[in-house]
This record gives sequence, C-alpha cells and structure tokens, in this order.
Amino acid sequence: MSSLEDLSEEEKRKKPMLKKRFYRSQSDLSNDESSGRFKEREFQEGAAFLDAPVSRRTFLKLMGATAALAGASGCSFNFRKPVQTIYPYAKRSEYDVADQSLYFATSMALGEDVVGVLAKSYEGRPIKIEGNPSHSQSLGATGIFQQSSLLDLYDPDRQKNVSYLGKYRSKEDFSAWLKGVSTEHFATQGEGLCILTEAQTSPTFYRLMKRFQLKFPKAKVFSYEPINNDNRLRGIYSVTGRWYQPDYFYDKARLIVSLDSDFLGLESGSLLATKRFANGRDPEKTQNKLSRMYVCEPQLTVTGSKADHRLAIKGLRVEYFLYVLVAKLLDARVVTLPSTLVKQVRRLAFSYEKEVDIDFLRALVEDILKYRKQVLFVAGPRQPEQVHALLYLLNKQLSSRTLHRYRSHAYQQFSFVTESNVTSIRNFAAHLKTGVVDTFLCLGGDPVYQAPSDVDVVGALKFVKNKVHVTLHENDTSTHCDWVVPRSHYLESWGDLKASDGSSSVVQPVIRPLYDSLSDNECMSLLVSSYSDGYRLLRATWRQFSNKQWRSCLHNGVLSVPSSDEWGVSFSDRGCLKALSKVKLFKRNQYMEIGFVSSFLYDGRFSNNGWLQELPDSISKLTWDNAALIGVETASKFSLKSGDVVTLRVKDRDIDIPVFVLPGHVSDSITLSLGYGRRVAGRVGERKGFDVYPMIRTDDFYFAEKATLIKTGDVYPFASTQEHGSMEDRPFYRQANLSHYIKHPEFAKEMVEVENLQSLWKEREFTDGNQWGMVIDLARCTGCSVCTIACQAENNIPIVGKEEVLNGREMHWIRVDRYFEGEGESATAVHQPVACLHCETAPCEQVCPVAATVHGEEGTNDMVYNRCVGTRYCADNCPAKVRRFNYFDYHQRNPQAQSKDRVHFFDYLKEPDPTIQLQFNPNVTVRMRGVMEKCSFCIQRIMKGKSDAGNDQRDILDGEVQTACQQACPAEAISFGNILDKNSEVFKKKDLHRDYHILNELHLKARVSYSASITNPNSHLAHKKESAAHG
Amino acid sequence: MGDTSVNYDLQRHPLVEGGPDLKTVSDVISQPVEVKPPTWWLISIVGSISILTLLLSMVGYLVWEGVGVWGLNNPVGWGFAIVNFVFWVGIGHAGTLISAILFLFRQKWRTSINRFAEAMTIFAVICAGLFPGIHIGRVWVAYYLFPIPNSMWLWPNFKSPLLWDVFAVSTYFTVSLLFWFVGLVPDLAMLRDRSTTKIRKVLYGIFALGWRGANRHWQHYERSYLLLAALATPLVLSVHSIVSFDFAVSQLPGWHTTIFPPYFVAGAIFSGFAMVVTLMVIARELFGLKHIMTLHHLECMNKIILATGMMVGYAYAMEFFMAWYSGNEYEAFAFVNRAFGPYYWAYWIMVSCNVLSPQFFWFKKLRRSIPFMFVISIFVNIGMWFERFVITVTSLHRDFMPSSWGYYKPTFVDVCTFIGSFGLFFTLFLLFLKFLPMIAVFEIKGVMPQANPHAHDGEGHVKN
Repeated sequence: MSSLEDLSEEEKRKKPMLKKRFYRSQSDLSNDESSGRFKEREFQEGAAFLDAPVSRRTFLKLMGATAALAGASGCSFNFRKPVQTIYPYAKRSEYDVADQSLYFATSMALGEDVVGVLAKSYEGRPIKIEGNPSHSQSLGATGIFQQSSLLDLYDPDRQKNVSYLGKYRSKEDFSAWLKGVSTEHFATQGEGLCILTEAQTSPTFYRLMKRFQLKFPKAKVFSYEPINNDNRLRGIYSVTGRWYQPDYFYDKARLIVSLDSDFLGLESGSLLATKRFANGRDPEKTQNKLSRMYVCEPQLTVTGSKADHRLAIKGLRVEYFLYVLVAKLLDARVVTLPSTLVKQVRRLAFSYEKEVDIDFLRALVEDILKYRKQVLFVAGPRQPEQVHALLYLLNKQLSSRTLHRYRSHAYQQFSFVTESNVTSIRNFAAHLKTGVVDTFLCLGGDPVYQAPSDVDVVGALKFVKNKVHVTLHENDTSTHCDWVVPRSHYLESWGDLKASDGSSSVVQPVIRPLYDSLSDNECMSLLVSSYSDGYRLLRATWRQFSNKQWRSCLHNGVLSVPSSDEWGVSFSDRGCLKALSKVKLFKRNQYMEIGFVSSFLYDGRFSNNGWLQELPDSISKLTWDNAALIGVETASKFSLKSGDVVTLRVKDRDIDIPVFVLPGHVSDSITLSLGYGRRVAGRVGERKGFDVYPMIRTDDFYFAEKATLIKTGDVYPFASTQEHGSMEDRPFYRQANLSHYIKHPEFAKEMVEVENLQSLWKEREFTDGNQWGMVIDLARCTGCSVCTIACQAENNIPIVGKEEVLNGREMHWIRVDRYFEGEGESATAVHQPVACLHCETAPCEQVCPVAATVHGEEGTNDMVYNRCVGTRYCADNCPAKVRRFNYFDYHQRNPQAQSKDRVHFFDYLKEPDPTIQLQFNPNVTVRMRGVMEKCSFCIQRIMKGKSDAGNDQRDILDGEVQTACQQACPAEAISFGNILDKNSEVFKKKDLHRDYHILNELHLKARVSYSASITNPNSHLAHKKESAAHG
Repeated sequence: MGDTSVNYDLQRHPLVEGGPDLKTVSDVISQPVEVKPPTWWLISIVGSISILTLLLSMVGYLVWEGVGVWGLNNPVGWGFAIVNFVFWVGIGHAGTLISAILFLFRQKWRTSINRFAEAMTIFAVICAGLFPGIHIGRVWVAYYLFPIPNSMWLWPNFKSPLLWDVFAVSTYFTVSLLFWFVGLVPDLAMLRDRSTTKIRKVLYGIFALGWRGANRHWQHYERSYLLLAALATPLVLSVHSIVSFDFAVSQLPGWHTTIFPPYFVAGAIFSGFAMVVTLMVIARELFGLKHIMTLHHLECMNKIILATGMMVGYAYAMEFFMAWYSGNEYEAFAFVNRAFGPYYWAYWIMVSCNVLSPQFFWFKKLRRSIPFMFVISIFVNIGMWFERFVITVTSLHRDFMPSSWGYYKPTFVDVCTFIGSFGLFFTLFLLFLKFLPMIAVFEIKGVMPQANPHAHDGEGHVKN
C-alpha cells in the first residue's frame, strides 16, 4: 500500500546490481548509517507533513474537492484579481542593475535658497530625495520642501500640455509662435515685451538674460517672490553700499540674539543654520560650552522654542527693542556708532524704554558684555531695513570675523534682482497698465494670487495682448493668460543654480519630462535665439570644463565652490541714518497688528502637495489649514476660542478666517500664514485653508497695523494632530539647564525611579549580530518635522485628508510631539520626535492574536502585513501610541486616485494615479486597508545594507545603514546603528549620561532612547523665572 | 387560620402557583407553539427583522468600506464593537448560571426560567460572537485567528488574550448550545407527540432524537444533563474571566487590573439576570404564565441582582483605591480621568445605574413590584453597557503620552450596529418563543407536588 515502502524495497534490490560504483556522498561510500536512512527515503525529513500515506480514497476525495472548488471559483464574476500587463525591463539604462537604486546629484531652488540633493532613482524613476553631502547648503540634509518636491513631480494635476485659450497646442506651435513674437519685437528693441519671473538663481538663466537684454534693450523684466530677503539685502546695502548676503556661523557663536528670525524654521538657509546651531548646542561637541540664545518674536516658532530666553513682543515693536538695546550697549561703551546715528537711536530708544521687559534686557546686555566677540545678531526678513543695517554694525563690532561672512549677490548687476520685490510687482502692474506691453511672459509664480491686494494684476493683464504663463500647475494666473505652457520640474530638466554662498550646483534630470514641458532656460533660449535644449544651454555656460571634468561635476553635483570670503571693509552711516530718520516715533497704543509668515506650503506653490498639506505645523500641529494665530490673552479679551471665525479688517480690506489660540503668541497681534485658500490649485490643494494675500498691501507687506477683529459667530473645525499641549508632569521630554546637568549628569535617568523589573518569562537575549538601536538627541532636535515627511516618502505612507485627521487617523510613522511650557504669551514649547520604540519586550507582540507583529533577530519589532487581520489590539497596548491603522484604503481615497479598469471584490474600485504609483518605493509594501503599520526602522534599508555587506563579505559599517528620518535630519539629531558595536555612533550616544528611555518603568527595554535636552539660560534670569513660578 | 398562616410563612413557597394539573401545564406551555401566532408576535417579528436588516446593512457597509466607518481613531482602537461584545457575552452568563449552577445546587425554582434563560444565553452569545468577527480590519482573513494547520506551520499567538477569547467564546457557545438542546429533547418529543400536522411531526421528530420517555432514556438524559451542567459551570467563571483578560493582560492603565476576572463575572451575572428579568416580565404577561414564572422567581432574581450589583460597586471602589494605593501616576490619572475627565458622564451613568439603582431591592415591596423591577432591570442593562464603555474607551482615550490623547465619538454606523444587534437578538428570541416551549415542561412537572410520590402525605397537600 505504501509507496514509500515500495520504493525502499526497490532501492534495496538495486543496490547489489550497482555494486556501489556510484555513490552519493562520502558517508554513503563508507556505508554510514545515517546516509542509509537518507537514501532510503525518497522524501526527506520534514518534506512531507502528512504522517499517514495518502490512501487512494483520500486522494480521490481531495481531488474531487479541489475540482469542485476550482469549478466554484469560476462561477463568481469579477472575483479574480485584475490582470495587469507588465512591461519587460528588457532595455536597461546604463549602470542600472536590476533592484539597485542609482543616485543622481541635482539641486533644487526655492526662492533664492538652493539645496543640493541626491535623487534616488529606481528603474528610471526618482523615488526619494536625499541631501547632497558635497553641497554646502545641504551637507547631506534635506528640508521638508526638498523631500516633498518629489510628489510635485508626479502630481497628476500638473499642467500637462501647452494650451492656447484652453485648447490643446503642441510645444512646437508655441515655439513657433514665440519665435515669431521674438522676431517681431527685435525690430522694436523689445518695446512691449515684458517678463515677470520668480527669483532665479541659475547662472545659465542670467547668461541668457544678458543676451535677452542686449537683444531687447527696451524690454522690461520684473521679479516677484512674496517670501524674500529684501529687507536684509537692502538693509546691509544701506550701510555698506554693497549687495551683501550674510552667512552666519551659529556653531561658533556663544550668544545668539534673534530678532523675529525663524532661522531654524522656514527661512532660507535653514538647513545649514540648523546644522550649525545644533553643533553649538551639543553638550558633547562643545564640551559643555553651549551657546545661549535670546529670541524676540511675536509668534512662537521653532527658533523661539529652542531659545533659552524668549521675549514675546509684537513684530512691529522688535525694532524699538533693538534701539533700546543699542542704547544700552552705547551706555556700556561696547559699541561705537557715528554720533548722528547715536542721537537718532537714543531718541527712538527713549520712547520705548519703559515698555521693555527690563530683566530680559539686563540679562541680554550682561551676556553681550560677557561674550564679546562671540555674539551673533540675526533679524528676520520681516524686520525693516534699518534693523538689518544696525545689526550689521553690531555684528561687526561684537563678533569676530569667523562668526559671519558676507558675499556679494551674484546677480547684483541686474536691476530687477536688486529692486525689492514689492517695488517690482508694483512697477510691473503699473508698467502693464500703461498699455505699451503687448507680450507678457510669466515664468512660474502666480502673481494674480500672490500679489499684494493693492496691486491689480488682473486688471493690468487686461491691457496685454499676448499673455504667456510657464507654470508647473494651472493656477489663478494661468486662467488669466492665453498661452499656458507646462514648466519642467527640476527633477526632469537640466540647469544650474547658484547658492547664496556663491557655490554653483548642477540640476540634472532623473526622468524624461513626463509632459511636454519647457524649462525657464529653454523659454529664454526661444526668446534670444532659437530653441535649444536645457543640456546644451547648460554646457555652454560651463564651457570651461573638459568632458572629464564635466562628468565629475555631474557626479558630485557641484560645479563650483565658493572662492575666498568677502568681508565688508567700509561702511557709511548715511544709509542707515536715512532709514532711521524715517522711523516714526513710537506711540503708546494697543493697536492690533497682523504679521504674515511663510507656511509649510511656502508661498502657496506647494498647495497641491498632500504631504505638506498634512504635515502638522511645528507649533500649532495644524494640518490642511492655516488660521489666524492669536495669543491666549487676545483670545480671552475677545472671548474667542480656537475655531471661532472672525472678520479681520485692516483699512478697506477684510477676510473671514477662524482663529487658533496658541500659547506663546504675543497679545494684540495676529499671525497669518501664506499659501492657503487657493482657488485654482488641483484636486488636493484647492480651497484648503484661507487666502490671506488680500490682507497684504505694498505699504504693509510684512506687517499690517490697526487691524480690527470681529467675531462672526461661525465655528470652523480644525484638524490638529495634537490636541493636548501639556505634558501633565509626565517625564517624556527631559531637560535641564547646563549647571544642573554638570552637577547631576544622570538627572534624566533619575527623573523616574525604575524598580528592578522582571519579566514573567525568560527574556530573549540579543547578544550577537547587528542589534539595531536609535538615539534621538533632544538637545539637537529643533522640531522642524522633516523626519516625518522623509519617512512618509520612504515608506509609502498615504495622506488621509482633513476629515480623517479630524477623526484622529493620521498615518505618520514618526510624529513630532510638541508640549507647551509656561503660560500665556511667555509660553514656549519643546519638541520630541516619537516613532516606534522597538521594545525588546514589546507589549504589542504579546497581544497580537495572529502573530502579525513579531520580533526580528536583530531586535526590530516587525510588522507582517500579510498576516495582520487588524484587531488593533497591538495599538491599544502600545504605550507610546505609535501604531497606525489603515481604517480605510487611503491610497484609494486620495482625491487623485483613479478608477480601476477592473474591479476586484474587497479591493475597491480605485487605485492611485499611475504617476503617483511611480513614486512608490518598491521595497516597501503598499498597505491595504485593515492592517496595522508603524515605523520599521526602515527595514528595507537594513536589508539593503546587509545584502551589500554580505556581497563584500564584511560586516555592516557604522553609518552604512541610515534610516530615512536620520538621513534627512538637518540637526543630525538622530543616530542609528548597531548597539553592540562599541565604536558605533549610536553606542556612544547611548553611553552618554543624558541618555534616557521613555516609559522605562514599563520594562519595555526600548531600542529607541533619547538624549535629554540641555539648555543654557542666563543664571539671573533663570533664577528670577523660577522664583516667579514658585511665588 | 391564624396558626396556619404562621406556618405558611415558614413553608417553602410553591413553585407553581394555583395548583394546575399536569396536563394543564403541558397545554399552557405548548399553546404558543401550537396556535396561530398572536398579532403582537407578528408585529414584533416584523419589527425585529427590520432592525436585523439594519444590522446586516451596517455590517455590509462596514465590510465594503472599512473599519473607518466607525468612530475609532488612533488612541481609541476599540470602541462600540468590543463594548457590545462584552455586553452581550455578559448577558449570556445568566442563562448558564441559572441552568447549570442552580441545577447543581438543586435550586428548584430555576425550572420555570432555565429554558428561557438558556435561550437568551445562546442568542446573546450569537450577538456577542458577531462583534469580534466584524471589528477586525480584514474580515476575509478572520480564519487566521483559528489554529488551522497550514503548510507554513503558522499558528496563532497563544500568548494573546484575544486568542483565548476565541477559544473561550466558541467553547462556551458549543457547551451552552448542547446543554440547551439536551434539555429540550424531552419537550421536543412532547411537541412531536402533540403535533397535528405532518411537517411538525417530522421536524420535531428529527430534533427529538427518537425520544420515547423510556426509563433508559431518562437515565441517559439525567446523566448527560448533569455532566453538561458540570461542564458548563466552570465556563460561567472562565468565559468572562477570559474576556476580562483582554483588558487585564494588557498594560494600559485602567485595563491592567487583577480584580477584573471576578469583577467581570459578577458584572456578567448582574447584567444577565437583569436581562432575564426584563424578558420574563414581558413574557409572563404576554403568555399568561404568571403562575409558572411566579413573583417568587422574580424576587429571587432581584436578590441576586442586588448582591451582584454590590459586588460590582465594590469593584469600582476597589479600583479607585488600588489606583491611589499603587502610587502609579498613570493608574491614578486613568481613574481620576474616568470620573472627572471628558467621559465623566459615562462614568456617572454607570455608577448610578449599577450601584445605586439596585439598592432599592432592599425593600421587599419594591423587589416584588413588577413595574419597578422592570425599570430597574433596564437601568442595570444600561449601566452595564456603560461599564464596558467606560472601561474600554476612557482607558484608551488618555493613556501614557498626552501627545496622543484623543476623543472617541461613535458614528451612526456604530450606533445602528449596536441597535441592530438587538434586532438579531429579538428575532432569534421571538422565533424561539414561537417554535419551542419556553419553559421546560418536564422539569416543571418534576417540581410540582404531583411529582412527589408522597405528595398527599404532608402539608403540601394540593386539592385537585
């Protein structure tokens, strides 16, 4: 009956016949006992699961059942997975090894900010952006805009083809038309030709612009960016006579005084600033010689939350504070200013002196005297020119040359560059209204949406015959133009960019243009000669490189590094004096001011970017909306609470917008963030939030004064990811000031008494191999939130939309917790990124009924999506609440999702847009609804590292595997590696005194630990604050 | 007569009032099964089937759209579904307690209510079983929860209380069903014998398993019933203990409590008895069974409600005491937050319904007042539902990290699914009332004086 026995009988019969001429192994030859067993069995041990041999009856039964089931499955209609054609990857591009990613160095510009990046390309499609370590403005880090720019590339709502009056036209039609226009205008020397461009930093663009201006000397060029550094540039110009751009070394300063500057947040150059600042605040790197920071600002920013002392002050009062400060410094004889200037400053200081928080000022002056030559002053771009001018003078006298350097603006010979943006847009509209312009070319931007409300761009455009808008997305301006031309994304075009420090970097395409688009440079080439592709234009600019040098430039992404520093040698007080004399004397009033700030959507250009829309604001934790941010005092004065809609009115302008009450916001002040409430933006960003541009006027561009606020009675729901701002005295974020830390180095560990906890069962030991662990350094972390978005890009994390954020179902694997400290306008905040803690005794693993979350050999807490049935028990039992559940299939619920060509039961009707599908990381599962997910320590990167190391037959090097959050972090706050390797970065971090685990008392044995934050407050001020708190 | 009245008080109260003869008992109990359904039954069944349809459509919508149609969110991963599950399982407990434990303790007063209570158990467990099934994210792979041998040698996680739940509830359901069915066999035979139509004869005949009332049949029956009663008894304790492990074994403040198993069992009996009272008060009125389900029965049950209600009250107090005594800040916060946090209303509904309202049963008058006990039993059911809500939701919504705190609001789907589960329960219950004898006829006869061979000798003489 048994086939196995039959076989072994046959084997036995055969044996003598073969006479052992052939043998299977050495043991077979020596007639070893085990080999006998091995040979006799056709199926080896473990090969079969059924103990009893299959009988004929069973076989027939099973076959019958199988056939019946197979038949039954055919009965259903449309129940099978849809068939999808895959295209063979037969034609491979050079260097491309299947399943290996390639990195291309390119760079991205945002306003005048240039950041070199590496685009990770997988099978010809960019899937991730990393920082370029060779680029001076990145040094390996990226910001939220760089990370999320990838989604813009694949945005299915992009302008896809050239259209003329809404009708399809080919790119050739447009080229031919523009050529004609160009020829026409050549005769009139460009009379009637007008260009409005976004800020340009490309050497090639300016090379072409030079030719353009030569060819069309009468043509007008304007440049407009609503978010700009005009005041800083012009302020320094007023005293030096040169167009200098400053570069501050926050790491070398011992005292940083920030006047309304969010240099760690959304201001240009924040990546480098964050890195430098974090280095200056690192207790180990500085050997406990931390820098100290004073911040004066109206609304709480990430910079303000990192300050040792923060003064909430109305934005328009910041300059008066400076006058008082300068007056004090003059008294102390540490600065010398021309006597005319001294007189003017004292006059201005006198009017405000009584308003200033005297303790704050006294401590600040004391510290300035203490840290002479190591003081750095920085002011925000919203502050007027005279502030920047004065700060230039202060910096020159109070800090050494190593703390700051100045570089001449690379394109200062172009008047449209040095002209302020406000003037530029005003003149632009006025120029159009003269009626001389018949052809207008708008390179990017959206002046109709972004222009100040007193500049009537729509009206001005009516005077123009031919209007061309070269744009990534259709927006308000394109609806008013006849020609709408798709603009190439930086990841699909050739170009070059020059950063503010003078270094040039290459922009190279990582994918063939998805649509029939043109880059700015290509447009310029059409105007000045004939169409030339981006590469030829670029190569012509950098003709000096040999092909070999050129290849290395493309490899590194850097074309030129900044040459020697320029140092302003002389200055005149005349400019500053002129500016100061215009300053109105301070009048004691309680006028409400409105300040305008940039947001995670920048000036609105990222409004169709779901990742940025859903990224919680660093301070308010708002998603999908902006709000009128007001302080607690203002809220109680007008009896408002978050969500109450108010009518804001300044002179003749008004908007309806809900307020959001935020601790740390100064009273009698409202902050409005730009970029929301777009009427034409695409399916994601349209009508999200509130358009605040109508409140901006050319004369109050950064701040508006004398605002009134009327409660309308309506209530608006806000989707905030963190409703509870208090830490409830629970020691999650641990912080101490420097003197306490020096006295009690183990303070962070001592904050929680942990008994000798024991597990119920024998705990697993993790003593060999790679044991992954992470440390997040809270002294370095600024709360910029780039980790969240880098993780989202790496791990195919869907956006869920405002409704679902309101339901509390956001999917971010790493969140940045924000806790407020203090009350009212003097409140400040701390930031703590929290991802899965990867506990060795993980509570989630114990309770999962199907073993869908299990522990890896290398100490990672792994999710098995295929096994997960979605009981959510793990999430309930997770003390850090880091697990995220797919309550719906969010990829299909995305507004940009499209219908499937075939329906599958339980698999819905929709799928992500084909272009969005290109963005997905192929090494990470795209999760369906009903499964749990969470931080995996970027397990796909660990696997890649292990595979690479295995191929080279070596161990993984420290730093070889970087998690996405770690790689992006500009503050280098995240360390990751093998905790058993004593030389690893992460081991050293875990070995620090200030290392601590959150929720250690639950015996989690978490692999993620934190380094406690160390602050460095002025002892007098800290003492005073403490006694006030206790009194 | 004065003397006899004193004696009468000391006597055991007759379990069947009015002294009917044996045939009358059979007739009265079989009547609802044999006559045309009354109008109220038809109206009720239409009503409950429409509520059942609501349940089915809500479940269909849920499966099609995803668990997101419920109000769950990130901190609160369990909501109405789990609350309803524990609620229904708890209700089921009274049935098993009445039929098994009281049987073993020879509490003869159980006979007139045990069938009824057991039916309630089965249907409540069916309602309960529905919820863990539909609350998971991917219902189509629910079979992963069962230890089905597979080629990957992949087993469920035996450490997980949720898996214990699967075993506990399925065992409970199986044993309860068997117990109920075995107890039904003699009565089914009676219905078969009384039936006048062929179909009834065949159908009841099939389920009567050839019962002829032979001595041997009775011997086997008594033996198996006793065994099943012995099997079901530990289940009364184990099932709800294991259900409580879902909470107690986790480490969430407010869940992680060793008092949970006895507390849950007491609560289950509490709610189960309340539900039996609610249903019995209606049924005895509608079917004219007041002499069989007597006021005495109801009073006995009310006493148990009072006792278990105080056990539950003790548990509530003890939880607070332990939260303070443990010195654990998270634990202490969880309980303060329960009583004074955003869900304070749920907590105080729970306390007033579960602890305060049964206190009225100290008074005999109130204990024996039908309208009053009906109201109290409803209150207890409301209170016990809120108890599970308080435990599940208030512990989850604010746990360790304040940054993740949230608030849970049920959606219309949550509410309609809960209401719909009553549709399922009542549909099954109404069908039971129509097609099966709601009282164990043969057992009732067993506690009647006629069953006692010495009935005519003693004081308990019954005039015929």
